[in-house]
Amino acid sequence: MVKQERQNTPYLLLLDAGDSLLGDRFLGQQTQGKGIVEAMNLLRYDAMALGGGDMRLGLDTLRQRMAEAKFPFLSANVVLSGTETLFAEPYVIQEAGDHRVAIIGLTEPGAADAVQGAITVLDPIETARRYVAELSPKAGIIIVLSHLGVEENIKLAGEVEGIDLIVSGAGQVLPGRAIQNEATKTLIIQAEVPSPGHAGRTVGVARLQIDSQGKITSHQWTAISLTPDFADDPEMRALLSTYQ
Amino acid sequence: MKREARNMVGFLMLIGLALVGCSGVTSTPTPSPTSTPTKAPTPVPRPSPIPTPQPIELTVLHTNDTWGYSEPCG
Repeated sequence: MVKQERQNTPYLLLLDAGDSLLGDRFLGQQTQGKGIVEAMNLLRYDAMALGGGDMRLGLDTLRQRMAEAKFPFLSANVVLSGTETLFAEPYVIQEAGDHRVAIIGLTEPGAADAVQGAITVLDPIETARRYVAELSPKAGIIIVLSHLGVEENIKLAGEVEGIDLIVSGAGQVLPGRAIQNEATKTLIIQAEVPSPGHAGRTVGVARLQIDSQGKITSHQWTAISLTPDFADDPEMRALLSTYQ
Repeated sequence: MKREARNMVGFLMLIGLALVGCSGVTSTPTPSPTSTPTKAPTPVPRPSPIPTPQPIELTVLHTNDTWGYSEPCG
């Protein structure tokens, strides 16, 4: 599915909003997230936000997964407790044509519980405000990859100006459409909500018309269910078969 | 005595000439001859203008909360 999209569009970002390494699914559990990172490497993900579920691997194992990944794990608001040291990269800047796209990662406050307080999760809204100010002169398009849930992301979109797009994860609400804040014009999209037994089967597809100033002038968004109508990719099938 | 005086005068004149000669060399610096051919001025490189970004369609594919699952369709 991703390969098809790459063939059809010159400017594509593949992002994950968190909690994808570990859960109720066999591959993640059996390999402690390693098989998922390999699959994401094969798909050429551009970035992934850290979620509390990913933290359940433990910090040492998570560091191993981060080292194996060919894409950055992002979190601008997780620091090692008692320090100001960020656990992951706070953001990454990608290029799309002549445009520079900054992608900032945010993690939900409850993530600290997964590692018995070994990390401290800073206020996500204050953190976002700080990084948006820092990155606005460097990038025309700013995306926040957020594992805060839709409700918190709606709040974020209203309180912090300068965010073009929030790619959301977590929470219990799935709007089923793109939400746009009327004042800040920030767009919020989320592919699915956590759902035992059904996770990982939906991909969100946003097509954004970007003007010369880096602003989204129009958008289309849809969520695609990965049904058997999509033929297996031989490389992915081969990779997954090594873990069966 | 006269001869000694003449000799002294001559000696002092020689010293005076020598001093004038030396001071002349040091006080009027001669511009060194230009032995290398004059080069054409090197044009100063101008910073290339920052291109105005062209409008694009950016496609964002996104997943979340896959909980350790990957579809074989990729």
